[in-house]
Amino acid sequence: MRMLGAAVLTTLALALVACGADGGNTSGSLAWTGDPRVVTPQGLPEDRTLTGKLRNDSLKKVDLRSARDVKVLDEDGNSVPATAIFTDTFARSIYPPARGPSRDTRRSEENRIGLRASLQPGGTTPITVSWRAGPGASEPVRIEIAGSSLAIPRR
Amino acid sequence: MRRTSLALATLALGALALPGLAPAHPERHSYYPNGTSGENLSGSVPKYRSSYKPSSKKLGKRLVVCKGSASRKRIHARLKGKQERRNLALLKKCKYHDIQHAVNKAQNNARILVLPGVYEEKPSGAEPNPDPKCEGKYRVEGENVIGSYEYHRECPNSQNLIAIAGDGPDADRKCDDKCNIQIEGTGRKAKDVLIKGERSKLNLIRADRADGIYLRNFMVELSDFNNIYALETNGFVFDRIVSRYSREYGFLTFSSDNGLYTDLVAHGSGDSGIYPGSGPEGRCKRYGIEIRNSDSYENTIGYSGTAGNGIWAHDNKFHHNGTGMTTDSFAANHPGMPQDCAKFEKNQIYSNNENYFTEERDEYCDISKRAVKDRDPKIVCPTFQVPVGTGIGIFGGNGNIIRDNYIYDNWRDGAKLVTIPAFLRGDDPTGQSDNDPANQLDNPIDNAYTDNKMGYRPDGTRAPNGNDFWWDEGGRGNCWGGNLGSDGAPVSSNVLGGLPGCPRGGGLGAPNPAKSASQATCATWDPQDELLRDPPGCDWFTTPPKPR
Repeated sequence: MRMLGAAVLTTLALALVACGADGGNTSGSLAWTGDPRVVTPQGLPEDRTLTGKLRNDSLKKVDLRSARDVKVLDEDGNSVPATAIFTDTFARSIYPPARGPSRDTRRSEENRIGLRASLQPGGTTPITVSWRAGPGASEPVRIEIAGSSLAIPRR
Repeated sequence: MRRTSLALATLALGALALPGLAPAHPERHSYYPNGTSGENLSGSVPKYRSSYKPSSKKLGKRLVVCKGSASRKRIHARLKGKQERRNLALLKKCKYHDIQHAVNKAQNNARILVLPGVYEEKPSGAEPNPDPKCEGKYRVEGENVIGSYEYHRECPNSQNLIAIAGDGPDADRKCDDKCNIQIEGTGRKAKDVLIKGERSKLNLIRADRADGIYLRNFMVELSDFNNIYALETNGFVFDRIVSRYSREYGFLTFSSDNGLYTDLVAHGSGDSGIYPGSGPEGRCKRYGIEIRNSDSYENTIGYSGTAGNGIWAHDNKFHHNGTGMTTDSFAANHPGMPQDCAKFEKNQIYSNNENYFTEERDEYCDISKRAVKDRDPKIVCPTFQVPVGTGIGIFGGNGNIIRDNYIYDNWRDGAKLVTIPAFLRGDDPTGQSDNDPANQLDNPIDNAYTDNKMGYRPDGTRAPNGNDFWWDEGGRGNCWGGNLGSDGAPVSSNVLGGLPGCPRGGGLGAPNPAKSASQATCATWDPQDELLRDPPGCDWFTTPPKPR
């Protein structure tokens, strides 16, 4: 009972931290830690790149797979084509995309280079998300990932 | 300082979030012949021995390989005078019609003379991969069959058109027989002797623990992985060889030492023309592999070397590739991490703007629509992503010297220096790397760019780079000095406060996050995915405009 009470308090504390970190607009187990930034990459005026850091505020491990788990959505909930990776710099697999290793090896490589991440409770990971914002493209407002919804800051 | 601490914390936490790396390389774990300390050296670069002198104890036994009447015809058509007469005389001594047969018969110090002709090595081509004869000596990981050394010794042609495996059945990983083998084409030009694969064998020539191997004067084409390959070999020379149209690498060495690449031509490689990976650990006191007088063009990368340590590359041309040269610390399972101590000097690194990532090329190379065997091998299909328009990139490296090169007409950046956090390279299960989990920012350190000629050709005419020096500002002790633009103009860079001078150098420890993030999205490249062929936020695959 005492342990359960401690866990509830921890959860509440983490939830408070999460609210404080992003000022709201976030739901689920993941939250921004620090302020995410959106920039226009040099030489790509129609693209946008968001960099930030995610924290797992739940009491369970969260497994993230970038390509499948991360959805970038506009105000109407429509999906905007985007890529995401759990690093803040370039990394590369030793396997070319067309010469695949076994599933287990592939998974381990994807973890190493940030195509996947596993977040323990309280753990953090950098994330870089990019999308196209050319004429006629929808303006994305939030990112959905592993059951969490995170606000994209206005530039 | 605050930014550095924050970034360090991010990197450390990121490291905790990523589990360890499973052993995973399309090759077995390998070990340096001379260890990693730089002491107790053994071995040397082999010397060339004349082909025309007959068998002797000093020069070694001669074994002659030919293609019978086809060789005779080629000799008459291509050679004249003394060279023709010599080759016709050798033709009378010919006992082998496949190079592998001669290798099988060869003992230490043999010279294998290959007369003009086309060598497809049909008996090797018929060997299966994996080979059930060598059951228990390989493992399968996805599409990759990873053989032990014994696999390649006992089933040499399962993955290799020609294999020279020199270590006998003992545990020392050292050459016992088939050491100091010389294989030489006897034509006037390299192309007179053509060793031709069908992209069905991973390697066309594999020298495995084959100390003292000397390969000279032939053309080789159409491997599925490496045209010329040396692994765990102490002492090797590649001399006057043309290597083209490999699916991945033209020339590749790995965990080898005392080597020389000289007077080579490499083109049409899906990855790199020349790749000295896991180079010898000389700790900046010696350069164990020399690369000189070579011409590498129309590859995805002209030269690359993950853990390309102890390399001295000089007087080469790296041009008309996607990227001219790279050395890096970002792939797993490479001994000798982080990369250090290469010296690049007096090279010409120019016009590296070939874009193999266009929509049209993506479509052509999409493996779900066209099998590798159905591709035109002359069309380069990139196996990895590179920043098109870059001269020379160091992606995580220390103690490198980039000196007195001509670096021009690279439309993005002449030279690029990038921080690679240590966790991104994973583990080295062989224990031959300096991996310290507490030190995520172990690069780039003490790289010196000096006296390079930026943005003009050797004849003095102007040919600007888009930007001369790109740096993410990470690391420490990195310096730039004496580099000159056209007509003595100052060089350009992406560092607002200017580049730190030599010898003191500088660096922020952690990279500037805005700069490193601009590279991150490029990691998602996947030519099989319509969106990820050209991922948003990554400008690597767009040809930069020609600078004025």
